Amino acid sequence: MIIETHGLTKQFNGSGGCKDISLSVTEGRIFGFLGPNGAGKSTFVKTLLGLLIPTGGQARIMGQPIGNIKVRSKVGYLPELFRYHDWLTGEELLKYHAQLFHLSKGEYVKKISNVLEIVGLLGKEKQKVGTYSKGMQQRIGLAVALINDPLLIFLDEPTSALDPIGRKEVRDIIIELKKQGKTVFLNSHLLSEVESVCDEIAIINHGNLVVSGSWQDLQVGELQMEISINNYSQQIGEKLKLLAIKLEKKHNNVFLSLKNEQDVNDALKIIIENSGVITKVQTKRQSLEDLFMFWIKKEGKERC
Amino acid sequence: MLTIIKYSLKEMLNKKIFVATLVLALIFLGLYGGALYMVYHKGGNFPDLIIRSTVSSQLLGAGFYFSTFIIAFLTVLGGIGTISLELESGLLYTVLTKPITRTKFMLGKFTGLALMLIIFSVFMLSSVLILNIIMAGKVFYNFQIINIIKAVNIYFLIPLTLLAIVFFFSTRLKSLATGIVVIMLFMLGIIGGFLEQIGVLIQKQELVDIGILASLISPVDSMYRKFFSVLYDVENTPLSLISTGPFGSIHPPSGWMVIYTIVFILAFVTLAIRKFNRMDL
Repeated sequence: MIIETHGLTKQFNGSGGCKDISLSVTEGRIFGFLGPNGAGKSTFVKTLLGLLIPTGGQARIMGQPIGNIKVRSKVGYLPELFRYHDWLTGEELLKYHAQLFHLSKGEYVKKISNVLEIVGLLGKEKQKVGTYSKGMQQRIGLAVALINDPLLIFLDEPTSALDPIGRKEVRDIIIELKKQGKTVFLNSHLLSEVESVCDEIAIINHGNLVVSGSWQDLQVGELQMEISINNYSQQIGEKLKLLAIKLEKKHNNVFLSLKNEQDVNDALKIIIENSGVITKVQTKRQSLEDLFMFWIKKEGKERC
Repeated sequence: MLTIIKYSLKEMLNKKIFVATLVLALIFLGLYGGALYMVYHKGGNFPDLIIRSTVSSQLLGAGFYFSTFIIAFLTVLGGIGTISLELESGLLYTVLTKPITRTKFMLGKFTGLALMLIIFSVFMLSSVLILNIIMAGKVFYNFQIINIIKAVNIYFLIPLTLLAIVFFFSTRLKSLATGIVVIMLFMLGIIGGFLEQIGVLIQKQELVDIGILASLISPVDSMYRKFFSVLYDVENTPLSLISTGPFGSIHPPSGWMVIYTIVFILAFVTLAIRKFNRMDL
């Protein structure tokens, strides 16, 4: 595990922050850390990075306790509230951060143009950071996070200042990082962003970890299935009703709510055995939004 | 740490406050040079060499004294922007997640700013000295090189003391509050220094004691008085009497005060680092 936390707690005068968070992140995966605003996501990340001093629990990054200096050379970080030295040019800023990582000139010269290209700022590197738009500042922040070729990258709301094209580009960068074997810890409240790239997720609310695990593990409730059938008969309908939790029919389309994946096969078998001709099949799991709302509501009920 | 030193130095040079201070310092030097010209070339003749030397020492003292104000304000305003504002704005998040300890970061920042202030102090002191040498001619007191070196080294303790206080309060207060507190401490030292000099002049021990107490809280003015007394070699030269006056030193602080100031600086920097290491960012 590249990140392991055991009861990690950071509270401010006994309240707020995050409480008793135990989770683990597998190397080479994209981990989505979700929660409403003020849930304690950034506090957790800042505690892991040694910016906040934990009030309880333990955590290890790459097998080392948090705050270990050597580990930091393999970690990249884009903070939520990104602010950079506005008197430096984009290139100088990257050079500064590269030097903080003790990269040699030969190493950073090549790396700077590489990361500038990745974040789409090539050609803008001679401009002062103070003249950059908010979106450009977020991009240069991402470049800073990548300058040391990190194994683990913490991205705290990495697309908050970007337009839809920029968001897509950042998602592509995250996927590319995964392909390179890097681990990305993505802190976000934008569910669509997390949904499209993450392998594993954790949901935090009111500072407490609500749930964590892989996508499949967290799927709860019904599976939606839409089947287009020629030769639909009453017999097919009656048998499907026995199988499904819920059935609706519109023209040639049948909408089923099933308990699990096994029922998909059984539903198709019923149609074929009863001379139905299937022209289209589509299954749909809960969206992350449904999942998120489910767990957040569940946590709310438990708190009450 | 070298990277932090380098960029702190560079950052200070890029600050508007530095540019503004430099422009104002040049204006001050221009006006001061003009005033010296008026006194030495248009102000008539002073027949007595002692009187002429005394006037010269007072003018030199005034130049140094007001240069100290410029250096002090640059230290305070430049310093608070570098630490407090960076803390408040979150600029340090990406820096302090790099492979550098908080202690090294603080030491790097202190060293970078200290170097810049030392360079600026050398510029101001040498400008004032050169202007006096040019304008006063042979009336000018013949300083020993060794005394100049010793005095200037003591003078460096002025911005370093203020910088150490800035660092100490930067880790405890917001930037504006830090600025106000440090300027008040600077002024306390100045007033204390004046009270001590007046106390010696009118032989009022209470005033001297108040001045000493103020110097212990803020040893800035003491270091200025020590600098001036070392420059004129007060302890060894009978002629050094000419160095007394509002900007000079009737009652120069002892060598122990220099040691106290060095300990003061080290203690404040250490306490600032200690606090910074325990801070949530």
